[in-house]
Amino acid sequence: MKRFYLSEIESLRNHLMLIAEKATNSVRNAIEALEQGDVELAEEVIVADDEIDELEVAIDAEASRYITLRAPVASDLRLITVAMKASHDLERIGDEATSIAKRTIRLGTRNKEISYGAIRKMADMTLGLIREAVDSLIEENSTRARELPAKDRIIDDLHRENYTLYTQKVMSNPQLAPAYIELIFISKSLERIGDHATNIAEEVVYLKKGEDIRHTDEVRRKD
Amino acid sequence: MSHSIRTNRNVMTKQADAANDSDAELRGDIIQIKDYNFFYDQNSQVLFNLNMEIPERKVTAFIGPSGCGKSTLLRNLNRMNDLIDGIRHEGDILIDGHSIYDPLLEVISLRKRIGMVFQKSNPFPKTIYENIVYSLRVAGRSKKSELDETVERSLKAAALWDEVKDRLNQSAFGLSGGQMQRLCIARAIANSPEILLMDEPCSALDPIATGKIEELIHELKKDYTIVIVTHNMQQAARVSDRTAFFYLGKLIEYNDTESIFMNPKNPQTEAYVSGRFG
Repeated sequence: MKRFYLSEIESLRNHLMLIAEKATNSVRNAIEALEQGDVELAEEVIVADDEIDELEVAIDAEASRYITLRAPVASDLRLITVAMKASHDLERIGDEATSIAKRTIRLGTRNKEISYGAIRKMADMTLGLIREAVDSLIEENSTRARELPAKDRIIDDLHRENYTLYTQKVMSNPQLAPAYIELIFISKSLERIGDHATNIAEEVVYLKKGEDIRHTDEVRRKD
Repeated sequence: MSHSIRTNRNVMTKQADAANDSDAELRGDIIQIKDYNFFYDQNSQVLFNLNMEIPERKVTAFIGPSGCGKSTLLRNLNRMNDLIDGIRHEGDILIDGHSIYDPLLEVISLRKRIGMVFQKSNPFPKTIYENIVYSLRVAGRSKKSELDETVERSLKAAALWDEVKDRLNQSAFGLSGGQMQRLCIARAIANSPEILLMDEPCSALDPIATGKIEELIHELKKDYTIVIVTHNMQQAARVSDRTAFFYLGKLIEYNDTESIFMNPKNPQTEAYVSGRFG
């Protein structure tokens, strides 16, 4: 029996997909702006963040309303709780992309004296991770989602590598400290985006299997 | 007098349809309850100073603990309680702006405009077909094509047609509980009423039959104003647009269903809808 209110859960799902797409776009544009030193594109990322914030608020309202009026259970309830959590992660991803964009503007055009370290590789991996997390959410593919926490560890390692490199550079050439401090923050933002993408992947496993893999050995670092 | 109002309402309905259902602003209040007090006898007042408006073509739910007066109010809307000795009321109830207590109004004509469905389905001991056309036959209408059309229209509207179209001449008692209740809804709308009163229509039904009735209520509100009494909080939340919470014969809170369940203003409403009552 098709219930009239199931269209509301579809609408919620559509909004979740929309915020996922917008957050992924912001990360992609922020990274491109950083790599190209494209200040205009960085400004676009900052403006687009308001839409992501509004979607998060809308999803929370729809989810609360659905819980109150429709008393969802089982996979419907899991979808609602995952929508609330994932939209929060996506909103944070949008904020980190905005932070990267702002720091890109401060860095200005690329300075040949600056050593960017592993930031390009890290950016590519982070964008890949968020794409995969969002795809696994759209497809509700828990098998694919389970593979993502391990990939995030590589991003974490790259951030440590960057951190060490930038710290050394600051010490050896204090004049370039402002630029390297921005890069440390950018690297940290990419690392946080990876963490949020991992959270989304864990939420997909919960959505599909009802299994909570957060903080379990499956996702914990072994080294 | 009532004819002209009905015509105006039809004009409004057509305008609303033309506006592709974006007609919320055109929907008036079909029922107005004004300073209403109701007594079963001199010493037993059961409803206290009620004031409320019930919008047309929406679902309004009456909720509250047993004995709060919600069924009494529902049964006063079509003057069903007139059958009880010793009752009296103060204040007024208006339907389409006209008092239901107008001495010139025939109670029968009032009830024709207001269909009613009860907690326990109560089909007549007749065939499915005859259950639907009973009120038409009583009114002296016997043209077969009209009766056939009414049966098909009513059963389709009650989402029962496909299940019973091949056994219209069998006894209504052969239907399941859920089907019987939908038959009673079909019978209630056979006369094309404006208002449907439902007094706990699903309390004797299993979840699947309940789901079907709730779907039906959602469909029927496009054409009818529905007032439903229910003890099932989730049902009120699911099916209604407006919810009225009654306690000890008083209207404690009346608002959009979303507001009543998400952010009630009155602590008694909060306690009742969250199950902390008593």
